[in-house]
Amino acid sequence: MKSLFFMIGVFFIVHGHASTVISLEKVSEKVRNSNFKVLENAQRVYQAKETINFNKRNLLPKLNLWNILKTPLDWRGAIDIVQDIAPFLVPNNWFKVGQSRQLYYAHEEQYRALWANEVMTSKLLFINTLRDIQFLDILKHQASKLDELVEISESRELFGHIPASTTRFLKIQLIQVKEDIRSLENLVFEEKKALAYLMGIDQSDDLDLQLINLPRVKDLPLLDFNTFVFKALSSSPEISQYKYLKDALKYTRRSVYFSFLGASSNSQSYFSNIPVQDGLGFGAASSIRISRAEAHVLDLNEQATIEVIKKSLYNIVNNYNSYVANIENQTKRRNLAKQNYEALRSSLDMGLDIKPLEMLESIQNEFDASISLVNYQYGVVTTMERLKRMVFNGDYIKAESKLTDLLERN
Amino acid sequence: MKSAIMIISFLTIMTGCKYQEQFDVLKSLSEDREYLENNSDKILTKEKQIVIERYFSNVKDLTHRLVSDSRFSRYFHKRFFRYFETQMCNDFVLDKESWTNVLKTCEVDSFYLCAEEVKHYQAMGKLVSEYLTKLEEKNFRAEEGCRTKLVDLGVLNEKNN
Repeated sequence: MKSLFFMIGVFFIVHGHASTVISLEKVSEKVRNSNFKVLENAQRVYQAKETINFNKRNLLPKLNLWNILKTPLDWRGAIDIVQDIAPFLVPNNWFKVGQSRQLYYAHEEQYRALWANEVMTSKLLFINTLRDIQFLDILKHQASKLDELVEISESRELFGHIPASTTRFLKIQLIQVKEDIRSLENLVFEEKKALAYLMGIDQSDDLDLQLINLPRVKDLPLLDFNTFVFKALSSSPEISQYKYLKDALKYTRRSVYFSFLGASSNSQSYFSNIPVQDGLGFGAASSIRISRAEAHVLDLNEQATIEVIKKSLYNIVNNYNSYVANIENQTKRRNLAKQNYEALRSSLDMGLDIKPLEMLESIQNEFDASISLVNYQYGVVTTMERLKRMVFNGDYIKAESKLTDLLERN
Repeated sequence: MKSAIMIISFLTIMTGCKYQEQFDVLKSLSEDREYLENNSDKILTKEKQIVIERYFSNVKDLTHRLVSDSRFSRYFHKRFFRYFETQMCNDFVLDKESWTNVLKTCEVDSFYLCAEEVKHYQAMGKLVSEYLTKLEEKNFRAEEGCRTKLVDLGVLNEKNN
């Protein structure tokens, strides 16, 4: 009986908290296969692709019993049958096919942008979680040093070397640090749960993040904005989608020109704000003007997107260069703070009279410098990641719609 | 007079190239190809990035049109011998050595800064060759420069099939 309970206990321990080990390299693959937004958008792309087939197949005759039955009663009903038995004679049905193809490419570009953003968000969250775990270690280290200091202070207080208020002050500091540890632990917990969600991992699983190799920041070269701007703009799906949307818009304009041959009865238009009448009427000129204004709107949006990308790129390159240029100062600051603390600590060990508050200040200095240095190191990694996303390098390599189409045929 | 104008217009419509835009793009490859061959191993400048982007995107667009648009493909085969001159292939196709040099210069500070199409140039060429008829392929082989370029790139086999 005992062994049965033991086995059940072991089963729950093993299966109760499954642990999933994740490396930074695995993140993009997980996002591609399991991220909810990416999967939803992939379905939208699939729908867009299927719409091409829908419009293509609607060029073939279809059976509409009610239209056929209507013909013997009213000869004008025969005209309606054209849409059924010879829909390919209606030019607007052809335009629908062309337009849906362009919209499919636009959807693919939108998918590429969303996918890259989700991969980047997940990777940045992964990196930031690792950084926070390292912050936590530093904070715990600081707490142990403070703990030690409180003990020293208490023993000195007993001998009457320092007032009781000093010990109390140090204890308050220690409690504050412990509170910071609690908050940071919660933050890491939440970050891991958010990361699991982004990667489509079950919330009951514990994520175990593999450490990454931090670069030797001082050896990295400074970057130039001009080196990256062309690639950032030319590979941006946010910009290239406008090319396809503008091509798709041209088909709506053609629909207006050929509206006297009947409107298409196929799927709804993407540009629902442009009215296309069934038959040539006096509204046609207005429809054309509205479609031209729509083209202007697309141009404006494209231009705005270009400027947003340039702005982001300027900020990324500037941040990166500032990290690289200042890392030496941060390393120096960290070393000096460490030396200072160690000097005071050894003086204390030798029995010299070191004021506890001076010691506290040196612990805090060392803590601040350590946090700042870690922040710099991880800052470089996250900035590099943003830059890779911007120029579609590394995990973000994903061919543009037409190229993907070609590669799939190979 | 009116009828003469009508006849001329009719003849122009009937004899003109239906895909003039694509034909112009094809002809424009020559200038970019020449630039890339002359500057293949020079460092990546903005001007070079623009030419690389234009040349390889045009190659991609034409390839895509050929393999995905059946009407265009039919028209291509129908009018191939009318529009295609033997030296044209040599004019449009970038040789393997220049292509690999271009590819090398695309790496700057461990970032790849050229169009993604550059990496798949060979694959696109192979795809086009699958859509060529025996007679069209023979035409490409007829010109020595063209044959060498395409065989080096692996687009055509060494031996004539």
